[in-house]
Amino acid sequence: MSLNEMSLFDVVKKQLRLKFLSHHSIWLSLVGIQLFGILISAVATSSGSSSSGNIYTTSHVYSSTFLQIMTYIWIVGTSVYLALESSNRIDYTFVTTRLSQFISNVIFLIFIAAIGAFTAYFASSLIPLVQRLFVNGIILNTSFTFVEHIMNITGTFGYILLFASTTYLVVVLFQFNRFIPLGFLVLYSLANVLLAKIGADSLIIPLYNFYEGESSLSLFLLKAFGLSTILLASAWFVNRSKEVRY
Amino acid sequence: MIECKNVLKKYRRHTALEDFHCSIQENTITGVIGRNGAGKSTFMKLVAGYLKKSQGEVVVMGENPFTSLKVSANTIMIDDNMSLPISLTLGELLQSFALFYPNWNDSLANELMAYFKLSPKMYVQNLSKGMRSTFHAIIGFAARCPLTIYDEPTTGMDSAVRKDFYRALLKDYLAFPRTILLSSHHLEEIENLLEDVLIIHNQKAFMHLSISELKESVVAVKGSKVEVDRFVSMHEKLDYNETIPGTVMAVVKVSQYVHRENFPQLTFINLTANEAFIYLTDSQEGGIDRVFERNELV
Repeated sequence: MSLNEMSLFDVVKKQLRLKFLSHHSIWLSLVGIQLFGILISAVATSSGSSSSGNIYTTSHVYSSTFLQIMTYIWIVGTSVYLALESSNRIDYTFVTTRLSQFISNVIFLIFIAAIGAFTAYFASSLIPLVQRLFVNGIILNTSFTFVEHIMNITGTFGYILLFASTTYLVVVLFQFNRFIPLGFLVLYSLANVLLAKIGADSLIIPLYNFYEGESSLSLFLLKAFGLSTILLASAWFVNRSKEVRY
Repeated sequence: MIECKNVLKKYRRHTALEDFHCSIQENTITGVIGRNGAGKSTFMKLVAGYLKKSQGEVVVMGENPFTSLKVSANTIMIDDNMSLPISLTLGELLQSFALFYPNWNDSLANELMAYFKLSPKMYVQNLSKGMRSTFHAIIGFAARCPLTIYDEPTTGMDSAVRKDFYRALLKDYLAFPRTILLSSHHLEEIENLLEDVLIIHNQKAFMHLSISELKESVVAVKGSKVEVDRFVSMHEKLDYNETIPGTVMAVVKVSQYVHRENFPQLTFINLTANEAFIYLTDSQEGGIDRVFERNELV
């Protein structure tokens, strides 16, 4: 029997197809978690009332922050699932190598991060609709231009991608040696305690400012992609010569 | 197809294979036989590219199988630990395998599914152990991979299904010859299928020979103590029992063909390949009986 030749591109393509087919639960959980986010976001984050003569006005402010947080939680859970060896073992039942598996996982993560960003953003536009159903009053929406919409979605995507790649690396490290992430956590906590003693900011503050304080979308994306690439490349470095099953 | 030279495989402190040598030719069915913990599964996983050798050389299809795309694309390993996506039905799983394996035979898979009464709408997690093994076996047949590895494929199957499996394996092999590695605890059931046997014992490739050579390499003789002792002294003794005073039955490993006509006072007993394997790999002369005999003496 002659041997079959298969290119890396072919295998990655097939693995991606299998991942899209077999990971129903990822899409279902996304829908569930965003519906929950919409319902919770329907509760006002702040309220105020005022009166002028015989006119009384009450205002409620609604925000999609909770919906976004739920989407971040979803991507963390999904990344844990994708990075777990038990999920990766499925790939090895079919044709795969560590490289093809890694590439297909990264492409899949980027794709679901994009889906998560789109759906989170569009789901937030459902919040005023929910209000229309249950609230009598005038609803004022923040209006964005098309470019602003794109910028909002892209920004959300950058954050989701950062959450995804960080989680992926943490899970890979944990599976490689469970003491490594714990060691990082201990070091981080100790450093924060020391910084607090000398009156300096926590380590997370400069990192937070580095991203949250960035006003240029292209620079923010560059930073998000840059860090994600470093995190995922580290995951590849740890996993590349790992055995499949004992 | 497979070349192993001086292979060492260690799991931390435990040695699974050491000083392991073997050469498996293309288009042969080789039985990988050994006691529990001998290193059969480790050998098969090394060949499939799932494990990394600690030392030595493993070459499959001309490449190191670990992380080799060529080896992965031309190999399928069937065992009871196959991880399958539980969200897909059996039918969808078969379609997924068809996507990856270019030689996949869809009609054979469907016919076998129908024969073994496996509905394509069922889910793998709802199958019994035997049915799951049957489904795995169907994947192995239909994939028609140049290197097909079955590690204990009949686990949980009842005897009728096992019989069907072996028959199907032989028919499929005759129709599409390929390299097949088959490990099983039931050597007596598969000996008629096998061309070669690779016996793994004490983490080493103990013997690699044809089934007929295996049968001929172990001889059981019965006769008077004097005659049996004279015969045993010329060979490697594997078992020795004085069944009744003055009459002895012995099993020996012979290095060359025994001309039975030269020993007219001895009765030669033909052993099956399985019996030969058990005697060859028995860790202690006298087997389990000896343990109880010793215990009774205390």
